[in-house]
Amino acid sequence: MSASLAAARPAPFDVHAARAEFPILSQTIRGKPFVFLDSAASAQKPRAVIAAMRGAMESQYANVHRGLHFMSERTTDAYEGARRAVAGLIGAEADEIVFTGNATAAINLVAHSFGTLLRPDQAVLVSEMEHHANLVPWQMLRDRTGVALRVARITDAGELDWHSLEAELARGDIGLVAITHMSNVLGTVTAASRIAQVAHAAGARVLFDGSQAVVHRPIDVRAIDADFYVFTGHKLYGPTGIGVLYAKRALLEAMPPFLGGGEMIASVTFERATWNEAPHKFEAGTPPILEAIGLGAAIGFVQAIGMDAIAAHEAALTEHAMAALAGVPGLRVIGQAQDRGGVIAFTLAGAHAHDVATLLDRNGIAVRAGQHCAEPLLHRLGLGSTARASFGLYTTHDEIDTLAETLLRIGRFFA
Amino acid sequence: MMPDGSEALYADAIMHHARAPRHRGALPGAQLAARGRNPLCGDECDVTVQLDGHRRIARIGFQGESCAICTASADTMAEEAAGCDEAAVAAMAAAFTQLLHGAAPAPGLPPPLRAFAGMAAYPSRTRCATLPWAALQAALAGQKEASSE
Repeated sequence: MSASLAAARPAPFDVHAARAEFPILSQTIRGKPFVFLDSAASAQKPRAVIAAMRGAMESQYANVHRGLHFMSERTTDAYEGARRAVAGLIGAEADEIVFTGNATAAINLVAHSFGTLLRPDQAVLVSEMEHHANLVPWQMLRDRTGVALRVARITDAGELDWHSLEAELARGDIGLVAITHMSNVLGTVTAASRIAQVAHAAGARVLFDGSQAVVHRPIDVRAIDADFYVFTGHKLYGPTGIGVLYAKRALLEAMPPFLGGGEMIASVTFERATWNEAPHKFEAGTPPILEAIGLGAAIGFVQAIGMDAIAAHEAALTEHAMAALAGVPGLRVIGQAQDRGGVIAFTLAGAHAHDVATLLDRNGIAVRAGQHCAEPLLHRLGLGSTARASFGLYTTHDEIDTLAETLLRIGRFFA
Repeated sequence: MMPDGSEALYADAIMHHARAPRHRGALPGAQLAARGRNPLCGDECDVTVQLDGHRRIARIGFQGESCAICTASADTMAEEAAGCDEAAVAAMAAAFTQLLHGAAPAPGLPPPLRAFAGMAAYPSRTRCATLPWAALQAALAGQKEASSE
């Protein structure tokens, strides 16, 4: 547990009361209690989110922004209220929040739009531990415009190699550092403020992929001094179909639009269009209205518990899990970073990850097996497939014990 | 060993092949070879084939990091497809795939392949079992790559 968490000691929340808010968790799977350890892929949804979206569809819904009637005004309030909720969650202002379809779309927006502000003699720097969403768009930028793509190394323990980062920045041509705030495979939490500092000192902007981090830690984009910060709603207990791009106001003003169409314009003739102000300039077409309302409710839900309390709960779960898994012969956790969150990829000697996942599934336990959209990372670590268990705010210590006991039996079966 | 209903999939007949495959390894002097990759999960099954003088399979070898199902399927395939020509392999592969999807075993489908019938309850693992056959058929067709899509 990090020193700052130990000092803060937020009030522990009642995980069983929280679980009761997630109707899906009370099922049995194949006759066993449903042990859901795949929240990093997508999280389950509390009643508050389901009710907010259902309520909008049942009694308060119309298209937003341009309607002059009661329903449109009320729905617009709800949609913009969700934008303010997102801003409040990460310490930003509402006009710095762009809604997209997901985090991948948000990164693609930056690659296309901010990418036009980079010169062909500049480079984008990612790390070896990026999800494909924070790698492929930069490959595509390189192929479109010639902006180079370079990769900062990680250590064998799964932490960012500072020498590698600093050496790349010292070459003087990095226009953007695009890096994960928390790895979806290693659980590594990167030192975001420090990365932003060194990037800025070298004249580079910095984008953080916060898809995992925003779920597990309190985030303050100003404290980090991020230029861009992205995350996705469906991992934060909200619906699918909505992502968030935070960007500094000055950047949003300087960036050209990505997608064109309605809503993002100020005026249109047959010859040309003028753009709406940010963030609307980047929200073309009818936005994900219901999804934003759902995300707003999800943020309200987690903030009622408190991100500090959630982070402390997860730190305890992670500590318990690392100890429990250490007791399973032949089990190796991938990634041993000092600062790690509740995303634990592992291998089990003699047992392929698919077989582990299938046998866990037969016991009601859901984990993920494969390459976790991080093929280059797994290749760098010399691994094929791994299994991955990941925690949500509803995960209990009993569930971790069930995972460890079942892995013990699986290990014996394949020994 | 695993009292949870998984016996149908990880049956002794399958685990026997998974734990101690007899046909793992590259074949020296193989005339045909193809790589098998399942991009969804990372299973690898690279197949090498020695032919006899009559364009029939003499021996099959396989290599690569793969799950128990894929390994067992590859080893079983290597035993049962020996002596077959390309048409017979295609027929056996088709019958095997039908079995994986829950069809009754076709007459003439060798018993060791019938052992995979339990896979019908594990649709997400079907591609693990079909990958070796896809690689074998690619090799026989003179292609270098197969993908179990």
